[in-house]
Amino acid sequence: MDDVGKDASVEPSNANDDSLNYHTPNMAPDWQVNGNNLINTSIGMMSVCNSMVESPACSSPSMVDSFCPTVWDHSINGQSLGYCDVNVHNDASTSSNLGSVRADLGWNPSAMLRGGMFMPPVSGMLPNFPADSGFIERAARFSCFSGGNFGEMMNPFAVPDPPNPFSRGLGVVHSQRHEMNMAELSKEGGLFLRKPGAEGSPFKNEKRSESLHDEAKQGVGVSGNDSDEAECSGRGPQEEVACLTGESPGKGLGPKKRKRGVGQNAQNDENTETPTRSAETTKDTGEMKQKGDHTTTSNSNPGGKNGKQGSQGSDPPKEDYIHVRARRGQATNSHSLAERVRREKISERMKFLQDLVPGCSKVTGKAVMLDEIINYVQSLQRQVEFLSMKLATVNPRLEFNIEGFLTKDMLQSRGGMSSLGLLPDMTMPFPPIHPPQPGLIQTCIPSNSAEALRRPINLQSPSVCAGFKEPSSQVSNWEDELHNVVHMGFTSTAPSSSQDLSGSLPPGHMKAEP
Amino acid sequence: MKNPNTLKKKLASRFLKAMKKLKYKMSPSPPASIAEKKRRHRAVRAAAYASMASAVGPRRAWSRALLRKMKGRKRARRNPGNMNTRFGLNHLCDIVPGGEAMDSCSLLNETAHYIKCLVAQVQIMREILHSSSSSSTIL
Repeated sequence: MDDVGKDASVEPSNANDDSLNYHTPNMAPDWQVNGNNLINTSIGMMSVCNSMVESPACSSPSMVDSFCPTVWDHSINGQSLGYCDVNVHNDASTSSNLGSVRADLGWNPSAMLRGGMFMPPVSGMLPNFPADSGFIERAARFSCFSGGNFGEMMNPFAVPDPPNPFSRGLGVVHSQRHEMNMAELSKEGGLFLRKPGAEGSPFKNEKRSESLHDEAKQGVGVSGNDSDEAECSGRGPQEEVACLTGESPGKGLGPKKRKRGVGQNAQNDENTETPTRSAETTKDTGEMKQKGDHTTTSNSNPGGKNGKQGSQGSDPPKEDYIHVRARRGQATNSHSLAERVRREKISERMKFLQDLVPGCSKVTGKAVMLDEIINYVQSLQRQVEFLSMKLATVNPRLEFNIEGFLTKDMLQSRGGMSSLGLLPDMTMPFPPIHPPQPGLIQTCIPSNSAEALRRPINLQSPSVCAGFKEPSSQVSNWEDELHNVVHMGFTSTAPSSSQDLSGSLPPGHMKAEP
Repeated sequence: MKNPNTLKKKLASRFLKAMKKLKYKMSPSPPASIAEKKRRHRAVRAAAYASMASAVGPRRAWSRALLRKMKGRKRARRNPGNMNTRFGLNHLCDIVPGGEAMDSCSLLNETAHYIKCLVAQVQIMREILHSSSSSSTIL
């Protein structure tokens, strides 16, 4: 809440967000004053500001506060209009600010992307574990690395950590799973290669890496697989079982499906058969036992791994474990492999998220992606707030008796909504209507819909719309077009309202007809 | 995953039902005071999230968490073991409902689904608003 106070005080100095009030994420009380403004952006900015204050080790809070809204706005602007509808007013004012502020703070995605690591959130923490950071950075890089560059990986790997007990090189490290004490390792194994940037636990990483070093020393070495299985299953529950929903220790193949989605089914099959031939340091995390053994062959490198694995002898299959193969030049320590498996899973999910979040296709690196995702979710939540606020004012006047009609036609037909009532009368040309139509929305917004909305039409709308079912044939893209229309409305200025009124229908009609 | 259209339909129907219920509670005249407006707004927002969570059902962790919040039950315990595996997802877990109790991998899953549902919900609300405003301003 300190940030709230700070934001409130800083707010008058913010040129960009004119009358935005920095309030708690709960609805700002003065929203109605900013009827046409992005009130909710303040909420998002608040949270963004908070996160920004926490994460970058940067600068004075005031700087961050002033920076946040601009950053947020810019991020919104930069991304697709899909969720930019509330950015009308901030665009112009903040774009210029953003450039400078962004440069000032050095809030660069590129900065965070170094080595593909998460940017260490607190600069003060960095000096504490230089060796680890370097090593972890490389390890992180390796996980994302395609298999073709094993040779390159060999050298750098040897450099940073002389005390590193990891065995280098290919080794068919037979699933040495569990010399280690599982209970501890379950927590630490995940940690060992954790990037120093992991928020909230950089120190833990440091400590744990030390202990892991010791354990790794013990762990290195080929051991029988059977004992491993038993222990692995014991470990299973403690681990991120949630990640592997419904997988049971007994099923070697089932869990593999989880990774299979990535498209490595072939490898999976192979690997189950020959678990021991690869460096199956099954992860201490129970995931190991559940995934197929090649899962660590990252998604990006199915081919390389296959060749290598195929060349190995055929050992008795160890189905219960996720047999992870160490890549060439990578540590074959069970911890690192387990870590790699985890990381690859996570990057797989991040890729999926990347598709969901608009405008993230060019972004690389987990840190930036995460930021984008967080921004996106926050903006969506803000939109929900904003729209609910508007609906709240509109609500008493809304005739939800048309809701049945809405649900049917909104979702199935195009132009069902905007064709209410006046469709038969509208013969205006459609294309010119688009510009005026946004104005309609804009006029509604400033007036808080309270006065502008009269509902006499609703009476006839159901009948008219019923008659107007024929455009329902065109189901596709209705929502998209509506989106575009709405966004146009939100992003363009409004012509006179008289035009708007007439313009409201034809766009809907236009969509329906072609 | 879920077909976006079916998801939207489900969300829309639930949300509209919730809004209808809300409507009866609200006075037909515009709210006089700011407090009233805030209250209404909060009610609508709660309706939006509640309908979203109930439409999704208890299949998803985030919807479960949301429903838990709605019903006033205490939040799920944060699993301490998850903190180690966070990879900097701490902010995300604060944003996505129920994020504290999940590990990174499932957190990302939940986030993806949550985003999908949020997008659909926003679309629906916008469409409702648009339809109502357009219908009213036609004349």
